Amino acid sequence: MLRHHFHPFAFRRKKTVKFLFDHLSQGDSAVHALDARAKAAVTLVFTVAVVSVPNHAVGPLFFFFAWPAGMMAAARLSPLPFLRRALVLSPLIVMVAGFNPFFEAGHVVARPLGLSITLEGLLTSAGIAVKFLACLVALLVLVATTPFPALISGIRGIGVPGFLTGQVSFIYRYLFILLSQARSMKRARDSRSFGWMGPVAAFHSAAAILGFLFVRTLKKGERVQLAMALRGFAGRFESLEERRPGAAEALFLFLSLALIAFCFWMVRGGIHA
Amino acid sequence: LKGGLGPEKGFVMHLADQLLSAKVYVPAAAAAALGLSLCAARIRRGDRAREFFAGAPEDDGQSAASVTPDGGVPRADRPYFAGWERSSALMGVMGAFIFAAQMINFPILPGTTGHLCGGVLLAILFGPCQASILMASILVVQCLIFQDGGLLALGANIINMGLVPCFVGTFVYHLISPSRLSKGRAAAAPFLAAFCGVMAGAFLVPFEVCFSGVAAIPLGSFLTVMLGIHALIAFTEGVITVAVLKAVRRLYPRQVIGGRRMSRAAAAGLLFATALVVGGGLSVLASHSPDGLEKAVTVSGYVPSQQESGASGAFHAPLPDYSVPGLDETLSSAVAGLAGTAGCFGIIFILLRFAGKKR
Repeated sequence: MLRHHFHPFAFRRKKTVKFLFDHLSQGDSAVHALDARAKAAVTLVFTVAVVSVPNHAVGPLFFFFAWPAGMMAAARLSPLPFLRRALVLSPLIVMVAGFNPFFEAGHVVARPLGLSITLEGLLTSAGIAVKFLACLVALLVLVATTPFPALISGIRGIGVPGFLTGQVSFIYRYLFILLSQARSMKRARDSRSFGWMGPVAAFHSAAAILGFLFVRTLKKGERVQLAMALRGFAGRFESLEERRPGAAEALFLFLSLALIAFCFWMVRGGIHA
Repeated sequence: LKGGLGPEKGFVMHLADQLLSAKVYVPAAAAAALGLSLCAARIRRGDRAREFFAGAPEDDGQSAASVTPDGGVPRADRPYFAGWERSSALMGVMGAFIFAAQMINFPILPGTTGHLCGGVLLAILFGPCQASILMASILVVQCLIFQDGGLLALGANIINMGLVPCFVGTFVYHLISPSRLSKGRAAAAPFLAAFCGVMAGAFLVPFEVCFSGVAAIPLGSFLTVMLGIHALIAFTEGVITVAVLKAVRRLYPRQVIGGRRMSRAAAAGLLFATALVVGGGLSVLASHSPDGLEKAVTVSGYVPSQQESGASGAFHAPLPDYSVPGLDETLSSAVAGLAGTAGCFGIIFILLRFAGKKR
């Protein structure tokens, strides 16, 4: 129990937690050591730049992969888990972007089954997919190279209000403990019902589990609240570590922003503009 | 549809960055920030988020002798933990509960399972302001750790899944349930609250996507699909919210209370705001296709003469063809829709006043 309190990732080898990339953030490369605010700010700028690329410009979008690829290389991360995660998250966006070839106006390239597929629609769909991959990989690089508490103070540093980041820290702190509790309750239910229940029974059991989990969590929360109050916690996290951004951060910011600006210039027409 | 209907995943509604453009995500982020700041200010000021919808608290002599941990005396009209609302540690742990609750899945239809989304449940138990902030922080965690949705779409997602369901749910809950819950209302109020909350959030998504102009799905069909899928999700959410509230009530009888009767002015104002949103939104949708009467006229080949068409002659329609001169088509039809809704409300209001006087 004590172990869980100090190491939320004590059981990170389990499948649910392993895909979360969070455990990678304990690395010790130069990228890991950078200030979280700088990384969060550049990720935000990168996302804005990628999303604001015009709909039909697919080719130049690939230049944008230079930044996450460079970060991954510097942080010595393997790209495969990133691509696997993108694949897991893609169905919804594929579904929405999949309508574009049929509904967007433009030059018709094929007419299967009475529907008309347009070139512009295909380009937009491909663009959405590539943008999705680029933004996701950038976000994953941020998460995989920054410990979550530092990331939270980083997004606080770039303007997210304190009442939100305080809640986020608490959620993160207790997330994995409660997930493991819920998982064990679910396992108990499934092993007692041999994996199958009638729908009504399953429903009642889910409701009872959730109600019990709620009350149990509430009691736990009250204990936590009292313990924190005794320690003098007044709703605000204070950190003794005051790390000032230095030359490394300046170099990182300059290189990243220059790269993003170059990519955006290439999108706007590059040398031919 | 892995998201909403599968285990261990977030909601189906998470918008991705790539589907939005700057003209949507910037105002959405600003609106979400404003809404959350107002909620935070409200909680900081009074610890009485639930009273947002009600008038002055009334004492019905049921107040318990015990003292809540923040030193206040609990009243019958607020839940046991209303005094805790300021306490971020407890609320953070309850936010983690929502993640854990999403792991407990149960069958809806053969082959699909559902799970709790949680916004309306939190809103009923903790009040809409606190629930909105909790949902927003849950969405931040989902964005960063689980990569559901994106950094830029966070504002829109907070509106769709945090602010709107929490406030709509609370509104519906308070509209239905009086201070003493009868058995039927104890089930109907949370069910309808959760149903309307989820549907209201889902209703906004197609507008945000289509107004961005990246995805090219026609608004009407997107709306139909979205509301169709979410009717199922919202139904599940409603049923499980009722069941969880019932279970909590059995374990902790004092924690779940009925809402209080809303003041008539607050109810009318909120209904009016809802009608304005719906009227404005739907008239954008309606402007692209002719309505039944216009269609019938076109098909039958009947062309109204200049005298009969209403645009000229003795009577000038105030907003010909639901459009306002000097604005572009979509905007003008939205304005016309808003004006029409406001006008209808005005007429109904005046009629009701007269009807009331006679009695």
